[in-house]
Amino acid sequence: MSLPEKNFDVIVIGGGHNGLVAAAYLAKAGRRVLLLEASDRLGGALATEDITPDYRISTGAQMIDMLPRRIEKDLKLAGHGLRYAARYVPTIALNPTNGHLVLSRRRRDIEVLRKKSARDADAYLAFSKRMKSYAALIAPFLDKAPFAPGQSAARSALRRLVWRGALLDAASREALLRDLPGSIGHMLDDAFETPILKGALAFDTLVGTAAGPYDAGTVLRGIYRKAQRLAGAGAWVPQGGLGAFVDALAAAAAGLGVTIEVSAPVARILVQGEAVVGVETAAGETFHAPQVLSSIHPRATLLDLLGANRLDAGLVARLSRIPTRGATAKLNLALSGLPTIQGLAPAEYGARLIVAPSLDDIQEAHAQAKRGTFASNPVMEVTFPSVADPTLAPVGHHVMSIAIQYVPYEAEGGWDDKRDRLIDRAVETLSIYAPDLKQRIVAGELLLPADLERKFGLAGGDWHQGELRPDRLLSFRPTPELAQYGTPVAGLFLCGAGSHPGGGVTGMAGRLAAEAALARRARA
Amino acid sequence: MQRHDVIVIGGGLNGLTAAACLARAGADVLLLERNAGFGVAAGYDVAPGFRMPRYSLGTSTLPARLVADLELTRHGLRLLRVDGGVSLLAGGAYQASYRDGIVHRRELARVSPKDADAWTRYRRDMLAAAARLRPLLSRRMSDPSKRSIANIRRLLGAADAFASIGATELHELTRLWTLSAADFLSDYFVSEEVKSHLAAAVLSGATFGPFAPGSARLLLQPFMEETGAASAGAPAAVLALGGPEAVAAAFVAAIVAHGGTVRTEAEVTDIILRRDEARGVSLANGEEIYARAILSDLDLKRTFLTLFPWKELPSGLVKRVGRFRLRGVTAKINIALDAAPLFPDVPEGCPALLGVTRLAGSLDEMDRALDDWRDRMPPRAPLIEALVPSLVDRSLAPEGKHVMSVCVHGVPEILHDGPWTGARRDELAELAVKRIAERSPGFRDRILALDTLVPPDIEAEVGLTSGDFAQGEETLDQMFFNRPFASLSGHETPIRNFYLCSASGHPGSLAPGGAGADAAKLVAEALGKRGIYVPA
Repeated sequence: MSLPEKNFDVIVIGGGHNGLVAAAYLAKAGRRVLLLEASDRLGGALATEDITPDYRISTGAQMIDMLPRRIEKDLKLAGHGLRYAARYVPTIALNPTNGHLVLSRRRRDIEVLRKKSARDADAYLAFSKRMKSYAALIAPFLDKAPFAPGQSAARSALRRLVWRGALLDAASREALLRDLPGSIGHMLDDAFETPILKGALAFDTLVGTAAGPYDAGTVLRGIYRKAQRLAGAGAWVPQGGLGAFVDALAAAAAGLGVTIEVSAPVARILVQGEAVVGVETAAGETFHAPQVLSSIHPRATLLDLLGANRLDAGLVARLSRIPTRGATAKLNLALSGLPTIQGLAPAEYGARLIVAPSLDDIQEAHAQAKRGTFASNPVMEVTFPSVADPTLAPVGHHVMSIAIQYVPYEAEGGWDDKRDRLIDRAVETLSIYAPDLKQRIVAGELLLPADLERKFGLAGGDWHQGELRPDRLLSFRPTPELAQYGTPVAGLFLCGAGSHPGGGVTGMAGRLAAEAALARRARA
Repeated sequence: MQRHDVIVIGGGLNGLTAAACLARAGADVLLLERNAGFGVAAGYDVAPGFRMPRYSLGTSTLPARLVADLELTRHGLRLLRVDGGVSLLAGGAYQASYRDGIVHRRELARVSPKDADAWTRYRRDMLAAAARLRPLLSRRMSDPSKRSIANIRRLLGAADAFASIGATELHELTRLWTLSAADFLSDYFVSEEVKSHLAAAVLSGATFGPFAPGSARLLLQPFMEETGAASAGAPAAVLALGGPEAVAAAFVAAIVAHGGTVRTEAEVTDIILRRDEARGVSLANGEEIYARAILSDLDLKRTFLTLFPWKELPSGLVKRVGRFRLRGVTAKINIALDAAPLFPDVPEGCPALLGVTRLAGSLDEMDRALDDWRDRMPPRAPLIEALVPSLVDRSLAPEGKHVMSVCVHGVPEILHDGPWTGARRDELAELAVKRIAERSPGFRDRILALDTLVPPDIEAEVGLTSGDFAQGEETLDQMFFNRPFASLSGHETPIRNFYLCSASGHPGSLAPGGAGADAAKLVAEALGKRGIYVPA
């Protein structure tokens, strides 16, 4: 690689969507930005790839679930080719016996639920309302940098929270204080009696985490994700898969003047005195800039690229214990046709389908994963992306995306002989709903957490660069001293999912980090 | 017509504490206990001449402050402090806890010199976290769901206090209160043995395993009564001479000495209500006794669902009460032994064997046991605690012979495939004996008598709903102002003159006797009794 220009205002490390968003916002503010991506393509875990020739699928993340519309507008992504194949994708809980459930508050869907349980139909409306009101309390904290505890900002933020809480009615307040620290399993057991409804709602809260349904902190996680959704606009699927979204993002960044280099892994962050001065690539090239933003894992950024010797021991310890435990595997299938799911209306094949018939099934799968194995009845999220986006497969053919929850990073006795068994278990379980699935499979690939790590650079196969749990949220993400995006080295910032607000395809960490860097620069 | 200032229903630790505090405050107190013994403190002869606690393990959890404030020593209580116990771990390994810091660090260094160094840091952090918690335990919870100026002011004060804690300390506290014990211990220790030992010492009675988020906070419990010396070792185990029944006897002596009355075998069946006000109680024998205030030491469900006609209760209360989770998790096995058990894995004469010996296996085993429990399976490899109180208290068994008090954890209240039967109780006892005998050769042959009590037995005999010793599962959604639920967390109930003083209320088992002392203070104020200082 050779570039005439070696001096920039800002260098962004890592071309995942947060890195791209950060770079684009910085360029939009007039900065000369260089983005360096280690692999040969941009997007990280957002990619559209071939399963087998002619069958394309989003190999990693499946939907844009929580992207704030503001980022889309600010960066004019539509102008750079972003089209949606489907918006507001509904969620359907698949029932192995009879009657699937559409999880929505539409009257028609509620009436279906009412036939199963009148109590649950009423409870569902109350539950959705409750979760939404909780999420509304948290949502204001998601579109700004977290405050630093022990400062007046923390004091006023908490005081505001008390006042906002005071506006709730007594029953909601009592419920909030009880629900917040609890487990989603207990909360759902209290509210509902229909197993499949409880299973689907719990799955939605737990997807992407290693936590079990009865683990403390899972309600908070559910509320947090709900708050992220409030900021975004539900599940949207880009035409051409998530790779097309990345293309639009990259085009937007390039259009704003960002210089993008792929296959340019950074080896070192260069520091002079107490301030960052640039980076050195693995190829030995040096680029200079007074600001560097890193969207890769905070640990890799600070311990590998910067070096532990520049950090105090407490921070090094806190960085090394950021949990990275991916627990989700991805199974991508190419199909010769749509399998027949009994009881599913043709229009519903484009939905997000949840296979988690009960809380017990989820608990069992979770317990199995703790023991280094996987459930005999895995719990899964299934979509057929080609239903809304026929460009992904030959005419009449389809692709199927399956996220298998509770698949441990390390298997007891190694994964080698278990890969096929996991595929079998997933396909067998899905065949309960779609008996003709097996005969339609043309090709497929299974991506275990370790494969996701290798393929997309996700440490530990964790989609979120550190699980969303109470000691890793808001002012604690990724560690208390790094929560405002800055680091102990002047000019060096973190801008990946490991920073607030974390996880999901939100781009918010990138946007907020860019704002922090711009503010610092303006002051300097 | 009999009339008293105060009636306390139930003679568990909190009932006894409440009665003793109120008697000292100058109130005319009547304590009514259904059984002949006092709650889980009751003792019995497992075989003639072999005296032991029937329901509890036998270690004392009494806070030192309560002992001092109620002058229990003057009323005959003798407490013995012994080393903190031994865990028998997978593969013949063991770890012991010693009060002496030098000895304790040497014990840790035996498996990991690094962990010996980490102990000082761990102990310091736990003491600091305990110091943060302590003030919350003596503070009466106010219903945070109530919208009043005073309440908002209090919450704003709490927000300020919260915001003033430094970022790093707040982060560490968040970790302690939300992480799993396994994750939290890994911040300090590397050895699996050390981690398993520390976890085993706190997991008794827990409804979640060491890998479950939220289990780390249990690690704090042994440090709640610890203070001072940085060079010290592990927290001690405390035993009462004569066992838990001697503790109850000291309370009774204190109550009687201050003019109170204690009646056993007096079962309260109903609260006498006049509109929304409690006026007295009726006993099973038809007797009616009246009082200005009534305190219940029964758990939440037993209090409201058995003492009141449901339709007389305010709307919404029955539903809230019904939602409160009580979960039995512990079975008790009482054994008379021909000779002291031997544990050849542990050096002979190890003083920590005077404390609790735990068959702990590994973290994974302990976690698995709780997964089984959740599935309502009989435990396969449960955490077993064994205490031989006769090693330090010779009065409990004939010369040369011993009693062994055994708690098996991870025992479900109801099995997935049917009720507990005699045969299934025997299977459970057999499992415990087998597990102990694996580490204690000849154990089986030393057994003279054996008695097994599973959670339903404990419910039937002591009246603890579901056999839950904690009187309510202790997860954050059922602790502090959520215990038992917001509007009842301050001990007052919607029934005038009727108070809840059991561990179903705050602070639960975080501070044994704390709910009784605090409810007593509230009642003493209401009655205008200030005779003698009332501890809280």
